[in-house]
Amino acid sequence: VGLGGGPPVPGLLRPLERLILTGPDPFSRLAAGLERSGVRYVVIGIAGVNHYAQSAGIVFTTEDRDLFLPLDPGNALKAWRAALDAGFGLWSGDEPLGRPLDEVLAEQVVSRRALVRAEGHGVVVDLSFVMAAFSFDDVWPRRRIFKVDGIDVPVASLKDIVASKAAAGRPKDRLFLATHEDGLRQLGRRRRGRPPK
Amino acid sequence: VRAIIVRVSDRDDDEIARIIAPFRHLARETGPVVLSDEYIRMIDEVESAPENQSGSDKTWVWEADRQFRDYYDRLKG
Repeated sequence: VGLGGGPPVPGLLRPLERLILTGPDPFSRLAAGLERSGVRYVVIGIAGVNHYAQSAGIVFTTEDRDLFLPLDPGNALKAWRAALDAGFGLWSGDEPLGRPLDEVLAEQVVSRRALVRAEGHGVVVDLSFVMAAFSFDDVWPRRRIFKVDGIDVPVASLKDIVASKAAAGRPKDRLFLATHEDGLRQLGRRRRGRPPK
Repeated sequence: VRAIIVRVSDRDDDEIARIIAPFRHLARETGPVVLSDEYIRMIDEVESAPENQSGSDKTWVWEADRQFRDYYDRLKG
């Protein structure tokens, strides 16, 4: 967690390949491809929360970005193709996602709600059909559409993301919630002119 | 310690509690979390801020994230 430039919270960070930037940020390329292809998705998880940060001091760092997709095989297929076009590889578990990338495969993956992971350029993006305690139709109307490098990026509402983490209640979610709550409290104190505790 | 296997069929609750007592500190709390009213109020405030409405430019968030990753990678060598 970048609170005041301090050290990251162990456990939220895992080893990353060195990111070599030879052009636009890989995640930007992916987001642009998703937009061009008309893919329905929302950013969730810590990557989603970061869009609501009010200063760089409370931007969390996490290895993977989580995108939540509806249970729609055609939409999933478009998302996977956009990821491939952006230079990512697609993985399901420890194996490359099967070929051919077609509706049959997409229907199987969606019916199992299987996670597909896009990896490339040192960036990991989880393309998920699951968000604890929420369906896609729950979060879609409440999304915000932010601009990043001129691209429209749909992000789930902060309240939905936090509620999902609270529902999941894994140790890493608990760690995040405690850190986030404390970060917001400190920010509030600073704004009211009181020194943070 | 990955797991503690206890044959429960012929042991009473007190004995099981005694057996697992030394390992209680290894347990990690899981399950739904109840959010405090204060936390929910702070989230509402953040969400209603003008800079967090649709159309806001968040390029700086991705840039901050990228810079932090670069910094972290340099630390790792």
